[in-house]
Amino acid sequence: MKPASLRRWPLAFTAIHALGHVVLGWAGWLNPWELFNLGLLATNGILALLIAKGRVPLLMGSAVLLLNAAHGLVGHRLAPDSLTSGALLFVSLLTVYVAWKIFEERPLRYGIVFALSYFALFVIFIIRLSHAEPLFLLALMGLCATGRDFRLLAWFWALVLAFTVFQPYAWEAFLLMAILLRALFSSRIHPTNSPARIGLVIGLLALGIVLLPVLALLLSQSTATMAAELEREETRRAILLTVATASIATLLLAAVGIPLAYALSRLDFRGKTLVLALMDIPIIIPQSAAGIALLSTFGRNQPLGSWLASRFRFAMDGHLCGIVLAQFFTAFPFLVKPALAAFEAVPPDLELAARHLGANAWGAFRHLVLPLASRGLFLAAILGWARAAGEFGAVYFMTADPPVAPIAIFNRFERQGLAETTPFVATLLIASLALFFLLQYTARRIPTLHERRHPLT
Amino acid sequence: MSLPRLQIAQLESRLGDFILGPISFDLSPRAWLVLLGPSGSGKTTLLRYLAGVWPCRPDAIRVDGRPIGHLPPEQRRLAYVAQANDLFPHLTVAENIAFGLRFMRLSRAERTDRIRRFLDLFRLAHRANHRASVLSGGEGRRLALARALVIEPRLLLLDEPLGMLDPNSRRELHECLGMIHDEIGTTAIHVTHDREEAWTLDSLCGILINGRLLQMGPAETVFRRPISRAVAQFLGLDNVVPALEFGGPAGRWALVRPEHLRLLPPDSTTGVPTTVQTCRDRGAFWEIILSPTPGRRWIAHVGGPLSSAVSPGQTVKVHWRPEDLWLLNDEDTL
Repeated sequence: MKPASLRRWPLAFTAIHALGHVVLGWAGWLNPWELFNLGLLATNGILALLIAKGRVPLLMGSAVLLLNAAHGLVGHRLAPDSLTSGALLFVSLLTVYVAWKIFEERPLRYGIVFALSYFALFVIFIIRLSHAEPLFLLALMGLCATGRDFRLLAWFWALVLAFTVFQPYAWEAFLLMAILLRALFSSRIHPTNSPARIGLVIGLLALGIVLLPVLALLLSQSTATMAAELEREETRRAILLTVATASIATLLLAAVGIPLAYALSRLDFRGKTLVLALMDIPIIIPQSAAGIALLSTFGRNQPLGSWLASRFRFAMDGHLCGIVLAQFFTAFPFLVKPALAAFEAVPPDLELAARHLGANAWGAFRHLVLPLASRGLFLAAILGWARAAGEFGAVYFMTADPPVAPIAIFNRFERQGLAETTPFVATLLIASLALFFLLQYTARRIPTLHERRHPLT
Repeated sequence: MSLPRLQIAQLESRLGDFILGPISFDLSPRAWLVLLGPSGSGKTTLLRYLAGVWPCRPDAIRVDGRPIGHLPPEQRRLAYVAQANDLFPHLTVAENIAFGLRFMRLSRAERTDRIRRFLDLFRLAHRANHRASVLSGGEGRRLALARALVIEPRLLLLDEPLGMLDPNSRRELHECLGMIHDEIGTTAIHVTHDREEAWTLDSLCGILINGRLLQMGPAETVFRRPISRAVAQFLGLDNVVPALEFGGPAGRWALVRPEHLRLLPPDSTTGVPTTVQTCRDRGAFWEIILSPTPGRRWIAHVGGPLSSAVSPGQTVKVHWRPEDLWLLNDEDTL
């Protein structure tokens, strides 16, 4: 290790601890004796540095040990809630020892990570879980043991966070973090591309926020309650209605949207950007606003709606057609945009090659473009279907009864409260997750353009 | 004399700043035309017009006398092999070959027979059931050729068929092109910027520079008798100098091929005295760089063992026959 970085280390170590103590002091959790703590940490850092360099000044070494002992004794006296004197002494000496070891054989960043980890552990156990002294000491030993390997350290932290911070959801949280860590460690990100790595970590944590409530809800329900839920007539009818209307809406949408997407991917015309922008309207406007807009156009008392009512003897609102219309409206961009991307991924040159081989424009579309875009189109249809099935606002204003599943959830919550609604929601979640995995799996089996090259066999 | 199979008459177009043509030429059946030109000279544009990517005047392109300039690509039955191969990645090798056959009225037996024959001809039989996306560069190019030729096109259009290949695949593919020429006998237009390829098959050679076809004829003629200075310089020929240097008329450029320059002893009565600068052994001949006056450079190719009088710094006399002096046009017109 280079002397320059050796000199930087105690500074970093001390600065991080000092910052932490200042923050704690400012938040009112610790008392003015922080100054003493800071001095002690600085001397600990210097001692660790000197030991690493192979020079152990006897006088200073014993002075630091005495200071550490004092820290133990005084610290207990000052903050009787936190740690006993013995534990404080143990902590001081252990950190000095590990710091020394890190100096000796590891790059600087290990020292920084260790210091930060130590501090985080300290905060979690002393501030969040008072009177958890044995646990803190145990965790500290674990930290020291895993501190030499970033991967081990990550697993250690996943465990600690799961069972302290996310206590009621310990297993769910640990499962999620394990998935995140797997994804992170197996990612093929270039090792020196730090922005990408940091982006991945942050993104995966955000994804965790998405998954956590779903997992928590699912794990809170037993299979028996869900089975009982499925026995209920009301639940079954809601699910059946949702599946039927969403499927019809998706079929109609595919019949219109897929040709439109193909046209947009191959043609350039004035106003194309406008068409693309207009397609975002259903995403942008609030769902309830969309519902009101639909009702004020297709409602039975509106010009268009009354014309439909007189002409075809049915009204859109309050009718199943109203559900399908609302779902069609909101799912439109969710199907067309991915379908457009799927068609754009098929190079026009391939289509041209098919033409040279004797296929006319329809033949090239049917035999080449459609098979190549099929996976993307399938996923687009899934997205559209899911959006249609999940639509609440727009459907609510058009046809609230018979209720589709999202409206049924809302009705149940209104009448019977949270506890009664969760089994229903969990059942729906399981059903939609099952569908999600099934569709992902089948979509994977449809060939794509960018198949990975595998070695010659 | 049968009708030329392909006739191109006054084909011209303007794409942005680039003007192609007007281009006119005829190709007889089984002819193999190598179109040479620097990058950006309009080679690919011309091919794309012929292939029907863009329509043009109906009678600008005639096949067997029938105007086809207005037809969409699928009705022209011209095989176009693009630089990128454009293989269908979701199909196997055999399915790629079969693709064009599905639009022809063929019996099942005839179809499988043809697929098998072309798999064998292009040595792809061992790959028949592999995805096209896993092929190597040379195999991919062979598949692109097989797929294009299996529909028995009236004309084969090749865009840099030897480009982007390693030397071994190049040689292999070169044999493959020879096989197409000899066994399938397709009329072909082969576009490239590589001069070497003009010599590969006993082919016609056309020079396309800045969208205009400057010269066309047997490769031998084009290389020995380039019509203009631009052609000679594009072909990288030696001794393209002002005609005055070789005793020609003033104000024109001329060419004397290096093998036509004869070296004579300094005391001979004829010839122009020059100083030998470098002698390089090229295997079949010696390449002698001469300097008639400081700053000018002639290159002579001399066969057989080199006389001791020819060595750097020595003075020799250079002689050529008047008929070996080839005058070049300054105007690039055909």
